[in-house]
Amino acid sequence: MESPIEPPEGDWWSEKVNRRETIWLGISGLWAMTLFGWMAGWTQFGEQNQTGETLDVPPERYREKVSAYKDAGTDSERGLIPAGEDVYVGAMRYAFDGLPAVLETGREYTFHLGTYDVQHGFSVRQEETLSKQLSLQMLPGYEWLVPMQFDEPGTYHVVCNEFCGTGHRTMHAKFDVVEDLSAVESADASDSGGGEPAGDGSGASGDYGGWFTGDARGGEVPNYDESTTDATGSDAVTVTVGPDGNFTFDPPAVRVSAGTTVTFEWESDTHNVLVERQPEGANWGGHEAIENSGFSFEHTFETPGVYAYYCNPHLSLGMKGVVEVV
Amino acid sequence: MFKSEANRFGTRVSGELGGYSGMGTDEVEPAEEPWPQQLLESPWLLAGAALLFFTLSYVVWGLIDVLSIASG
Amino acid sequence: MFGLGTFQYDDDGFRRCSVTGLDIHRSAEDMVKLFGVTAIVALAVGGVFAVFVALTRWELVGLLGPADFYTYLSMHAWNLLIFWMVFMEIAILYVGGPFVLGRKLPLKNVAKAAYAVMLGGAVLINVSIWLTEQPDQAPLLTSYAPLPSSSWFYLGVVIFLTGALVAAIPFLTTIWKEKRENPGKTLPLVTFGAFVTSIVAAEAIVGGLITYVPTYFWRIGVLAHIDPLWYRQMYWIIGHGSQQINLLAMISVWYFMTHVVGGAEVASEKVSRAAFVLYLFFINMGAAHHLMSDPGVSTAWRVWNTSYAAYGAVIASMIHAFAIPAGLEVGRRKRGEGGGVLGWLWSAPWKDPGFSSTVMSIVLFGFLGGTTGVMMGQMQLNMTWHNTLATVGHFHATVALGTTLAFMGLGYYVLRLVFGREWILKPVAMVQPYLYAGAMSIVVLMMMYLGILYGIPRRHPSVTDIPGTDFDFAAAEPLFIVFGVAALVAILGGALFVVAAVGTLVAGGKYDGALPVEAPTAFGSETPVPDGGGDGTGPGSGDGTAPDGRDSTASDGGVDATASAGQGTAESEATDAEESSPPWYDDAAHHALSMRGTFVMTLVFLGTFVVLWALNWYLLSQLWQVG
Repeated sequence: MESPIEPPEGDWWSEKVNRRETIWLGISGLWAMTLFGWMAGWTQFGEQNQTGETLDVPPERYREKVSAYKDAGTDSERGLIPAGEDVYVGAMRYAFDGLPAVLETGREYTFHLGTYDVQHGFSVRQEETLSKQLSLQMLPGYEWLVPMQFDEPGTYHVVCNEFCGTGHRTMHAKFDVVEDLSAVESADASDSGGGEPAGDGSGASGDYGGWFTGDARGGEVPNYDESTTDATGSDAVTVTVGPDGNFTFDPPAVRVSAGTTVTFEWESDTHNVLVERQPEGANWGGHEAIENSGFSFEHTFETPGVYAYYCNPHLSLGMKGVVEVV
Repeated sequence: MFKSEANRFGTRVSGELGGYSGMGTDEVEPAEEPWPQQLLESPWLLAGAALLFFTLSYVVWGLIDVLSIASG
Repeated sequence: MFGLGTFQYDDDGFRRCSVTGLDIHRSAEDMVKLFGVTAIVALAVGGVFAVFVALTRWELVGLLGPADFYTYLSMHAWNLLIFWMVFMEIAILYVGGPFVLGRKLPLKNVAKAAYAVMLGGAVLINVSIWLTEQPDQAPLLTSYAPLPSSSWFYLGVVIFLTGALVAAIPFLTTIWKEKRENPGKTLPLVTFGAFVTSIVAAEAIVGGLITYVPTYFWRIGVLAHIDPLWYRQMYWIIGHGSQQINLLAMISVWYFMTHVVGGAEVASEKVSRAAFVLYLFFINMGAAHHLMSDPGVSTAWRVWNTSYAAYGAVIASMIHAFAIPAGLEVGRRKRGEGGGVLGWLWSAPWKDPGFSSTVMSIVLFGFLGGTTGVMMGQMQLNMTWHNTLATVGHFHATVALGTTLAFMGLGYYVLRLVFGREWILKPVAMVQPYLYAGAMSIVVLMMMYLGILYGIPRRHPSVTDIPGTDFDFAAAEPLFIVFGVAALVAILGGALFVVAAVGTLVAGGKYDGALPVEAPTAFGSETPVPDGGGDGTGPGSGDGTAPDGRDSTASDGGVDATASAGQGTAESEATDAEESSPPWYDDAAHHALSMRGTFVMTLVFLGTFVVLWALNWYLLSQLWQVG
């Protein structure tokens, strides 16, 4: 009867249970109720609840929403200052669109979390205190609205903690929380995209000041072979953005005559073109919004010199290029 | 011969020790067993009920949640 | 494989195990050997990949680059979390069913075919992961759509799961036949546990097929779209369900092993079976744990499902946490193995790797695995655990400590009782569980610490240097050093098991059925049990004996009546003089045997649990406002 490998006989249901075992059963029941009650109750009296509305939003549409949000906000040196209480974050391989941002303490924001391609993680921690951290899931096709309010100023770092591909580990962004937003607003507001007009001291062709190497910002450019494609004399020049899904521009370095119109054509998703540096007096703005396959834009390059540019989500993977105007 | 089909019950220690197993070696009629015991002795009923419960509580309810997400 | 055993069968194909008294048929035993050895091969393969994963996350070594890391991580995960576990679990079903019931394995050709299908699926999965190349990504364990993996991978999963489902059929048929032939009879507790295991497994596997069949068709372009939210909800039925199979199988093994090696008995059939039924109904709801920090699913759905229906399944766990040590305590007290509060435990066969593995599995699963699972399953706490290294710490505590230790312990006894071979390198076998358990516990604690208090993400090959930013997690480096060293020692501990097991299979001498340190309460045990117990506690050892049926230890200090009756010797004369007719013969007094040692231990466990839980909630309360 007592053996777990023998069948118990007769009426074993009516056997008395050891008193201590009975007490333990009672304790277990109480513990279960405590666990359940506390968790359910925290949704009412607690301040940390990841409960928020979800919307069904196709990735394309979400990208547009983030873009509109960015346009409506104010750029500052430290990041985007949202126009209102909404903070949009669009994750993609491999960046967080919409960040960096600057927020204010004590204000209840609504974070909008979604992705443009695959699943990503929104993992946030306070720079000074790494143990103050949380992680939320971001899915393509869904926009999750999660209210958040920060009482402590500081820098909050975001990493992706849902495996999304080989560049997963390079995904990082941040947002600052400050006590006085007006102080940030009145500070120097530069063009988003980080272009710094500089003299053309970027070196002779074939080198470009090491822009294509890992010494410069970002990773080493995989498709650069130390030569510059010569398209001088052509009326129309095309640079393919992300050919075959590779994180490259093709050709990575191209030489054109002044006055040539260069068309950038997207062949894969989630790329942009940000200007790293350009000749003094040139006014190329690149294309900051994240675009997908099929998109194109063009620019007519007038001012001679070296224009160095890159794709922001794939900078770490070496997606960089040069247009040299002669 | 008995080994090939039936349980080896009857050759077990408990059978040899007479009163070792409480109620004796006589089996109690199933009808005399309390109903909770009868329930615990009905594995297929339990399995079916459990599968049904899980399907409703986790799968169906979850699907309802997912399918009722509003467009944004 | 079938030639590696030493036992002979009678003309009907049966043999009687001299240790457990079970009648075992060759058809069942052949399959147990086949599935069991395959499981150990998977353990070895997964263990090799563990070396690479550990030495990468320990960034001082930083062995692998990102692309390779994810491939190796996937190999590590599938071989250990799935193949090591599921092959062993089919073997456990065949032990819990045909072995314990003394029956032939029905449909044995179905079992063989299922094995072949499972093996084929496992090989296909391994190869397709290993050969992953762009644009496919390594699947890790979760293969979250829409991140694509090799289409052969999804196919392999469908094949493997189908095989596992089919492999359960001979077990279920055994139960069906037993119930049909003996309608008024109760299944033994281990068999009942195995049955619940099989239903939980079937539930999980069907969920997996519902997930992977459409995902396969999406990957090959037949289906246009896979919804990621639907995928996550469905995937985790197999994702977490597969681990709940581990839980059920492990607990069944605990009952089995504590009995065979430690002399445990069933403290209360009613309570233990009710606990298994709670699991049957509620345990797979835990799949919801992975959707706590997800959009889409409602708060109510999350709270109800993550709590296993208001913690019904946690009650079940706590019941087993009491019942199993209590069974050991009662069984040992009855046989004079010690008194006082914990004498019965200290006197237990700690040198027996089957025993030490089992008990450490119970303790470490409870304290490290179970508690953290409940905590991070609480919806709001989950935000601080989700996708951090602490999650990895939790499932190494449950699977790599709990289930793996239990299966290793069982494995030692499969070698003895199924293959009939005595362990080679006995000093190694004795030490191996401690080495493995100790080192892996440190690994687990490091991972949890890193995850919760440093926010270190999981599935990252390098967190101490993030390209493009000054920010990194370099502050965690000292802990990673401890992690790395401990991981290597733990892997060595696992390797020693494989070496001991394989070595025993090919070179072990014949096992003659005598347990050198312990005799279970089974027919034919030869080792006499000391009378009175070395801890010498007759009644009145300070535990307030009372003859009124309340907790009294009137039976402490007696002799193993089973052995004496079985041998019919005059050993009974040596029993405690006060007990001419030991009261434990009267089963009505069974419940009166003291479980105070167990009670103390479970209270310590609960106290630890409450403190950790409260600390977790405190940590959460310091976080900024969310929601």
